[in-house]
Amino acid sequence: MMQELKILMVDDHPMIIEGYQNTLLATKKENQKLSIDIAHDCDMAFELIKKASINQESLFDICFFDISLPISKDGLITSGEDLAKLTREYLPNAKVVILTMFNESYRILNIIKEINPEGLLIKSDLTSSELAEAFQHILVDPPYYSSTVSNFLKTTISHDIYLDEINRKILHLLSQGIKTKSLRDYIDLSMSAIEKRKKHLKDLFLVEDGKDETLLNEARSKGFL
Amino acid sequence: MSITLINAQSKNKMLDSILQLRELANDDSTPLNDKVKLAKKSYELSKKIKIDSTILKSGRDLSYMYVINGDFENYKFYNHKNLKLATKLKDTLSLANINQHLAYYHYNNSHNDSAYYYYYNSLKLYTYLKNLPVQVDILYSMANMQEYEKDYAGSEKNAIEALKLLNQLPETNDNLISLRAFNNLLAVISERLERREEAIEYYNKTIEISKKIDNSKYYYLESLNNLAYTIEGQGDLERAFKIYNEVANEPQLIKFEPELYVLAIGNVARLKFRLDQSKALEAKEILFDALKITDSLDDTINEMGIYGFLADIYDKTNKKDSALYYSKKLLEYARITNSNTERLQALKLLGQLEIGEKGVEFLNEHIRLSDSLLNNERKARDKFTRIEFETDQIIAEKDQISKERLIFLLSSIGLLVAAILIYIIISQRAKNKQLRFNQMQQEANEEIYNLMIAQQSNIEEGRTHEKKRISKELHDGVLGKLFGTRLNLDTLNLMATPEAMKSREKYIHGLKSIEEEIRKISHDLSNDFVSDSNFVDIMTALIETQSQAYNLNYSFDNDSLIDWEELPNKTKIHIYRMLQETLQNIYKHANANKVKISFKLKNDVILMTIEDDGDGFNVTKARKGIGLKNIDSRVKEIGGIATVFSEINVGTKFEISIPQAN
Repeated sequence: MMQELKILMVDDHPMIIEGYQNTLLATKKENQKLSIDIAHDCDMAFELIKKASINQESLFDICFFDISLPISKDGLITSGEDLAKLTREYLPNAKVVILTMFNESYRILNIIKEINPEGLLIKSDLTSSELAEAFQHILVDPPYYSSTVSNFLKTTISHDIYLDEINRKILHLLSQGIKTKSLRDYIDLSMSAIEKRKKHLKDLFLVEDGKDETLLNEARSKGFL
Repeated sequence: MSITLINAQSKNKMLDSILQLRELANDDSTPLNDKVKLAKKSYELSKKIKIDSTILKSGRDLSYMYVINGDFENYKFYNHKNLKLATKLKDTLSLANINQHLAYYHYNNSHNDSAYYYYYNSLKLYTYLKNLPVQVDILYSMANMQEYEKDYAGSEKNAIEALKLLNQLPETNDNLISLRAFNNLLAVISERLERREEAIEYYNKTIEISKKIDNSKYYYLESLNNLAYTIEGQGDLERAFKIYNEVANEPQLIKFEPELYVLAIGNVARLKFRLDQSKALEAKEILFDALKITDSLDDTINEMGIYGFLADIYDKTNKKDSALYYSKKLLEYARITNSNTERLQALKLLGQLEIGEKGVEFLNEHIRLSDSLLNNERKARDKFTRIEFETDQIIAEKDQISKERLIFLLSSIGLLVAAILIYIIISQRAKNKQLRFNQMQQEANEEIYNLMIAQQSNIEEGRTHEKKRISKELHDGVLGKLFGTRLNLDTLNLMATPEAMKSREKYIHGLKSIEEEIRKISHDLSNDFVSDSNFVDIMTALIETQSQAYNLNYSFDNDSLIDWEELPNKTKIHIYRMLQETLQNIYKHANANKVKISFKLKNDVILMTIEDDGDGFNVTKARKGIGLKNIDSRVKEIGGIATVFSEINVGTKFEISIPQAN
């Protein structure tokens, strides 16, 4: 029996989409027939999602989203994450696969928490065989996470440390080299609240010398970054 | 050495024994000799414990013991010691007492000048201490001495002074005796000055006072005798004779006052003869009786008087030999007792009685003696006044000297204090100046650091921004492309079809464009997109923001030869502020469109030029505003020179030259 699969691929690099297409086409099973739609930016992708939702005939079975994408013209859709959320809303049956260059734990954990995608692949890990395997796996038994992601999850769970989203964001921003005083530009908290959270983080990670650098090292070693 | 090591305990012990010794010495039952020894011992102990007041007290006790023992030399010696100590201690009471003692010593040795000097000192001190009885005593001694030395006026003055004091004292027996004595003295003086009426008045007073004195018979009779003598002097011989008789006939007088009795009967005999020369025999008989009594009494004075009377009687009754005999006796006794009046009388008589050369000799002696007496009298008259005057003068001089010393001391202290104050003020000012200077330097440093930090954070921001951009470029551009290429090549690797080969070639070719992109990014990175913050950046930032705010076009030209880093922060901050102020002035007053700012280095001098194309102003007329004044003071601070060129409607040019080596 022929299995017809409708696929949406969103990435701003045509070459990457080409790669996905080539890999999937080269590795698909005999009985699978792939029909692939592609989009290079948020607007285009959202158009396709909306159209599929309205038509109800050509629903996507599986959607591949890159995270960083040119934002929509109205500025409302800024990334693959937003697109994924919209997909969940418009096409609840579609399986969502996030492919991203980002490999920081914060981003990854956030994606899992926000979107809980059926597949989460880190581009730097990805080989064509893994992509092929992931594709087949997700169709049958989602979710599929890249090894990096699995490792993150393992280490994070193995520690008793629980970090809420804001704390994870603070750690992430600090690791990006953002100064504490500039954190307010990214987090909607007062300076003193941010300071308190930082202090709490340092207590959690048993940072004795009080340095941000040590905190980041500790967080990194425990897989939070 | 133990003396110097005396501790408090043994000191107390010694004090106790001193007190004990004093008590013993003052005990009436102690024999005189022992008294001196005890007093001496207490004095030696006092000297060991070295307490001046104790030494003085013991010294005064000791000197007293000497005088009651009749040892006048030690009496004088210790009183002089005591005087020094009391002067040192400024013990007025002791000083008064010691002066009195010294006066007594000199009086006793007939040094009347010295005695008078000490009495006078003592009197002044007692006057200061308001001790009236002792003042009266001293005045009596002084007046007596003066009377003796024939300074009648001085004596009278002191006696009247004493009477005034006595009036303030209660009418005790002792005071009555003193009162009588002074009246008697005044009477004697009046007598000597032949103011007989006055003398009689005084004698009558003494008689009145004598009646009030207990056991006053002697005083009364003596006063009567004196009164009679004055009356005799007046010529009322009958009345005098009567009074002399009254005295002489006082029952028992011969027993309790034989001397007065002898005096009285002598006077009776003399007057008897004077009244009636036929009664020479009776008179002589009385006088011989009197002589017997004087012999038994060893009363030289009265004996001498009687010789005088006898000589007179014999002379007048033409019994030359007897007259000569008694005259010679009189002269002998007068010489012994140093009685000049009697000597003169004897010489006169002898001169008349002796014939020839002998008589002339006696007369000559008489003349010499009376001349010298007259002379001495004249000298003596002013002597005491002079002593008083000199004493007062010495005291005044002392006062003056101590006053001058005090003034000198005070003015020295004042000058010293003023000098110290001036020194403190000057050094404080210098310190303050240094402090202010340091503070200013500090402030300048702080300011420049703040500016630098601000600039640094701007640069940091820019750097972060740039980093983000490059990171994004790498991430989104290069990485994406590489990933795409890898994924495709990975897939194509599985195929061996000619199409696949062709495709691979396409991707390998694509790697080239990625290389190009990386090179571009690398170039961006190596190109120092933001330089370190420095003063020029700070100034650039200032000019940029000011020009933007003030809507000015600007040009900024910095001579790269200027080593801004070497310039002191103070200078830099002044330059920065001047630039800021000038720009502000241009905005406020100049209405300019363009401003040209340049820094040039010429002969180690930085020439800062700020030029605008605004309204300009008349340099000679313009009153300096706060802005210009500030610039002036800043230029002065950094040792520079500021010049303003301005032309109406053309513009203004500031030229400020600043030495690079400051």
